[in-house]
Amino acid sequence: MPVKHRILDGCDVETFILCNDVDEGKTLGLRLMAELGFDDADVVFCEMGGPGVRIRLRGYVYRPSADYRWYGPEVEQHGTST
Amino acid sequence: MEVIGFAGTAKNTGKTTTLVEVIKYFAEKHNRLFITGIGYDGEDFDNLTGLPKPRVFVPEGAIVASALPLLKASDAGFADLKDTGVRCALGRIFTGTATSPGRVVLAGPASTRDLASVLAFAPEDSVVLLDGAFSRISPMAIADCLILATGAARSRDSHRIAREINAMDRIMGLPVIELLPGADEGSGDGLLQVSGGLFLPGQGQELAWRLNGSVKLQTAHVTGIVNPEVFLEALEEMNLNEHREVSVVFDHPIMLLLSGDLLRWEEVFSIIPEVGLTVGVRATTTLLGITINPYTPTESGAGKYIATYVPPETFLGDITRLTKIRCTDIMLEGPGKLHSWLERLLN
Amino acid sequence: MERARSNGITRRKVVLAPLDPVHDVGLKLIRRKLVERGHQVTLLPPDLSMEEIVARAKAEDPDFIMISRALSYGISELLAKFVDLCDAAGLREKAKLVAGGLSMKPVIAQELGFDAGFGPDTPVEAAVAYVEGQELDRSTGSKRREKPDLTAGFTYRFLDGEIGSLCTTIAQQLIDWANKRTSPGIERARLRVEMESARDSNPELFARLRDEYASLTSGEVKEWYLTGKPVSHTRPITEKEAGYIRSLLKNADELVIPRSQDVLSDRNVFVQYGTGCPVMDAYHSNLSIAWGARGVVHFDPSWGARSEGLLEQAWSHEQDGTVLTLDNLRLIKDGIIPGVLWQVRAHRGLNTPETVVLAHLAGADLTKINIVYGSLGAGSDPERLTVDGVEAMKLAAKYNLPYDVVTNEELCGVPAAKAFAGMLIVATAGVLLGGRPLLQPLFANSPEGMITGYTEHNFIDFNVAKMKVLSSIIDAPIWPGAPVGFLTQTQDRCQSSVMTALHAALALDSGAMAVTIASSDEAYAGGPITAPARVDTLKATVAALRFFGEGGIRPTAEADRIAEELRQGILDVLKQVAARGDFVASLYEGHLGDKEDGAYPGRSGKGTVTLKH
Repeated sequence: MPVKHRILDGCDVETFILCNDVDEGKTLGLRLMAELGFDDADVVFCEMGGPGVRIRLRGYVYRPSADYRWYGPEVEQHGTST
Repeated sequence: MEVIGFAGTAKNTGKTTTLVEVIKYFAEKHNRLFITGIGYDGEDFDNLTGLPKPRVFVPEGAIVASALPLLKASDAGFADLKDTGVRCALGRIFTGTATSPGRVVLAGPASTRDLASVLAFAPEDSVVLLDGAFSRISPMAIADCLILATGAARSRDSHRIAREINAMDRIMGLPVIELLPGADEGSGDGLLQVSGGLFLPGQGQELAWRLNGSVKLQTAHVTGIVNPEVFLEALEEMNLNEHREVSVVFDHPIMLLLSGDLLRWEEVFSIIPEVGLTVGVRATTTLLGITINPYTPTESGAGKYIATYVPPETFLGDITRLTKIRCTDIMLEGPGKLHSWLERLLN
Repeated sequence: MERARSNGITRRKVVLAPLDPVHDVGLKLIRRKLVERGHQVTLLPPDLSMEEIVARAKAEDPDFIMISRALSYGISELLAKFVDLCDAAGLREKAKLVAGGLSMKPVIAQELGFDAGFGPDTPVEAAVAYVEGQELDRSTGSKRREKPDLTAGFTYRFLDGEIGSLCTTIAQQLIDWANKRTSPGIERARLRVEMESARDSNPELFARLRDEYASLTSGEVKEWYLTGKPVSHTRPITEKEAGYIRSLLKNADELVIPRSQDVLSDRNVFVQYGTGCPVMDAYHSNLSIAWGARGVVHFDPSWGARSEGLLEQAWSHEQDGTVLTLDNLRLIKDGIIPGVLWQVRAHRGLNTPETVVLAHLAGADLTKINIVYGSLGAGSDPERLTVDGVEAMKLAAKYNLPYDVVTNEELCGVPAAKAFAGMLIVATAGVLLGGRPLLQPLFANSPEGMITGYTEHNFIDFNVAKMKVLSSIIDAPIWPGAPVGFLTQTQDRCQSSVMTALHAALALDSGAMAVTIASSDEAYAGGPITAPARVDTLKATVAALRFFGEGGIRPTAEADRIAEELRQGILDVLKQVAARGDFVASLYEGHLGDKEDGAYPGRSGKGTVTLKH
């Protein structure tokens, strides 16, 4: 089972992207998420400062009510194994 | 019941690989297995280096003693769960019989005392496999025989490894000397009881002076840990009459492996005949053989480790040439030699 | 083993050995705590060899040997050697070996052969607890299993006679008025009780009652009762989903509770869930509880307040808010770690009395009722919600369910004085009806705060003033929320977590019994709250509580001035309402918040109240 499916809901990527303005930063951020394979992505926070943006991107793996696939055949339970 | 211990001279010397092979061997022979460990083993990645580790698979019917949460998380099914009453850092240790083959993580009793309690749950007709951890060896005194793992993770210098193996071989080969009945009650009748071991500076001199001071003394029984440096200190101070026959008896060879530099025993063994002393142990564990592993994790900077190897053929070749005891590199030579040691044990 | 002093704890002999001179601070802390509790402690000097430590320990014959050492690959072999020496020296016949230090964790301690291992996040108390024989499983921190009573010890006596007497007069008037009236909401609550008792035992009666219930519903809910067509954006929970929830507690006793969050174990921090999906709710609740939440609040969809009637069966909702049905509540309850306080809200809409019934039947610990907020800020008709609210408070008293009285109308722009007057009237009515209300002031940068300048220089004074004025008026529990920090958080998770944490610390520092906190996603509207965002604010709250400790937060003199203004404002509002002599009329006429303030009397359920026969 890909690790992605063990993510409970969303996966945030936080970084600093060099760019000219906030809009470019957001566009680049969303491209990054697409490159990482998150097809349900959004910009949670983005602020321009100095040479680029401090950005927090979110890729939802499962939104509530989705068809969760946390438990593959090799995993019976979570929270109790080490 | 035969207890086989798997000890190492360091972490990452190949204990788990050897254990896995031995489990396979006994499973094919349909021997009843009871498997536990004194540390934590069978996880995917090493806790300290983050590098992948061999996994421990158990066959159907094997009894495993491990912390309950780990038995439950195992992909082998376990039935007949029994609480051993022993607690380890990861919870209470239970025994369970595997109803299906699968992978387990072993977290068993850490001390000799707890290990004895857990082994009481092993059936009389079983072969007990006792997995070690790091270079820990003290609880292995319980084992009937021992397979020792060493290799590049201990030292990349094959000559040093060979010298250490020879020293260990000498120590493990010390003769068993029976003490007279009543010896445990105290000193007297030619017996000197030394409790508290020989591992602090000064303890050696004290032993020597006591032996020098009373010509009636024939045997000194030293309980506890023995450091070669401190024992050397005793040997250097000893001034025995050449007609006197004096024996120094230690509890177990493992007591001689815990403190100080192993290579200092070379000097001890060279002096013992000069002093005119007989050295033995009260009980021992058979050293079945030594497995040699060319693998060693190397820090690549910033706390990251990478897997590296010394040249396996040369490493094993050097060690085999310089030692007398049975050695094998399972990955290089296959499990054949290991199997032959076990066959000898069973017959 | 002797008894230590008079605290009934077995006195233990403990040897502490720092294996590295720069890492003995932890051991010194442990020594201080252990000595305070009457244990016999020997702290060895840091420059001893392993062999010397073993010899010194042997002479002490201790019950515990604790060592500290920052861990690395090389050092681990030394620690393993130490374990071997202790074992061979016979120390382990009696003593437990404990290792602490950077990078230490239970699995490493186990591999090294220690009986327990504590990492840098471990509070000293955990080491003390271990010495005192409390069972230590894995990295589990302390999680209290008994539920606190947030209202215990409060007398509900008015300390401010003038305000008290006005509140009592108004509350009595509104109760008397409501007692003569009924509504479809009240009828459905009665039917729900009867239906649930007949459901399994008397199918015929159940079917009849259900028809009657259906006739009192409206909109999509009615359509579902009549045709079975699901309400928009909902679908039945699948068997697989129910399985997910049930599996959550399969090993509840072994769930890891991070020790780093132990500070929260004696604070009542609540979080809200309501993702729409009971499975996700159960997961979010449990991870929040693991990270220190003592309570969780069920959030239902906003349409649940506007349509007459509640659904049955278990549903997943694709939008915010988890559908309020008995089956959903029971499903979630089955998945939540026991011992946590669970609130089901009944504060605003057309199903208020029935929600209290469901909360009771599902085993909730708390509910939420406020006539004024629901009427002025959440769209329910004031007359209807007054009748239903009084019934809900009667039911809550009957079921012994405490409830908070929320004042979220402040967020619409209603000044705190008016919102508090409304809250005090409703709470007084609750007490007169035999209930146990909790006051829920908003800790927020409310429109009023911005306009009047109360929050211009800091966020402390206005909030402290609220606590001061409420606790000077009545001896009742206060539970700021919900959640604290409204309109102070931004989309940046660090800023958001800090704001939440500081507001929570301020609330608890100024005498709150409980506090509800947001996630760090509070200001993000683009999607559902994620699990890490919940952990963020719980971690931040621990950091803030740890930072302030008993040190306290100091308001400026403004706090007293604002408190005085608030009291005067409350008094003025109450006088107006009392003079009007008709609470419901006051709601319509804006005495408790008017259009200028941003409050609009709601229209849902208008014209549905009837006089009792």
